[in-house]
Amino acid sequence: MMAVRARRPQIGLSVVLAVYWVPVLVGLRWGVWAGGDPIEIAQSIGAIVQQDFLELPITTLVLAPFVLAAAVAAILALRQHAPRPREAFVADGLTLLFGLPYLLWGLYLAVAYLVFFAQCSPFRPGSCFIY
Amino acid sequence: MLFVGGLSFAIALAFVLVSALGPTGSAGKEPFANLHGGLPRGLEPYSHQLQGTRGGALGNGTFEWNAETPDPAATVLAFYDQTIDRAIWDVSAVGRQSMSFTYRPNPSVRGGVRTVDIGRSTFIAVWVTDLQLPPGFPAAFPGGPRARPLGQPGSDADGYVLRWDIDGNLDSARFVEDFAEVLNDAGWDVFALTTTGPTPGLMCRSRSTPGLTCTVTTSYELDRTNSRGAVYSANGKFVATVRLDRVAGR
Repeated sequence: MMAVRARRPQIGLSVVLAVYWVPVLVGLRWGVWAGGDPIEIAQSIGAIVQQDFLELPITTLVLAPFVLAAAVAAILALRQHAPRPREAFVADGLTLLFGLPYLLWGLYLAVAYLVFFAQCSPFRPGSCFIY
Repeated sequence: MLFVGGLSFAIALAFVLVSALGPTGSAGKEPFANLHGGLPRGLEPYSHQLQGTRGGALGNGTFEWNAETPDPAATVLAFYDQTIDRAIWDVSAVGRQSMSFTYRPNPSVRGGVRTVDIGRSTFIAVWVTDLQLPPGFPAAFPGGPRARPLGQPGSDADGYVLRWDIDGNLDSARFVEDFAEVLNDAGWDVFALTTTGPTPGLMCRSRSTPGLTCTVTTSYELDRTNSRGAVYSANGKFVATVRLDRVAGR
């Protein structure tokens, strides 16, 4: 438990970075599926990264609470005035640098979807759907 | 640094695997996987294509690759007859306009090359579909153009009954016309053919085993559970029922 607490900044940063690894790994899987040579793999990763980054918070929704927790913990740690190791300070900074854009993008997508479904109810004839 | 890199990679890998992100189902398995060069292993893209006409599509348990060429059908079929990898594909017939083959590791997977003369050029369709055929289903009976299996096939002492979703075709009459050509090329005599009216169909008999006969009927089936489409109002599909009978004592 002590070891986990001591590594908290690094674990938080790992959780945040994990969501950015997801499109790369999905692209890698499609690249291997498509034939497995380096060109196929590079093309697949490029295509999936380009496509999936738009909806990254939806694809990785299960990880979003952990990213939020890591970001909150990093903010609380950075607000403390007690002296801390430089490595932990950098890790918390990077956690916020990568975590906040992800969370803000997720918030934007959530609002966009809510507005869309409020205005375009599939149960309301004459809305955005064509029957 | 190494700790953060390794742990973040491990979390992402576990998430991708548990969430099954990437190729899954039939698309993740051969012959629908590893489309090196755009086609399943052992099949070549036709080399002499008209520029900008080639393209492939992959669905659940089905694959089709298309192109156009100025070459005649005979040249296209000769190319595939020579280049197909017979260690992977068992060629059951090469005819005038089409050829048929079976995937050796799983005979339920059928494929073919179909050519259509469209005036100055020839349209080519190389297709592979898992028809989910029952064990013992005759290898010589080809799959239909853009036919996808519907439900489990039936079988009894007299033969087999298959249901195919043929909605990928222009209409059921076109499917029946095209399938008649495929059957003829695959060694079946089509002795009754109806391409007009609401239920086009055909009857055929194997030339090598006259005791084997087939009846193909088509219809448009309404899907009453999904009559209010969200985007467009398609609420049914063309369906073919294929009955393959073994006539005793012949």
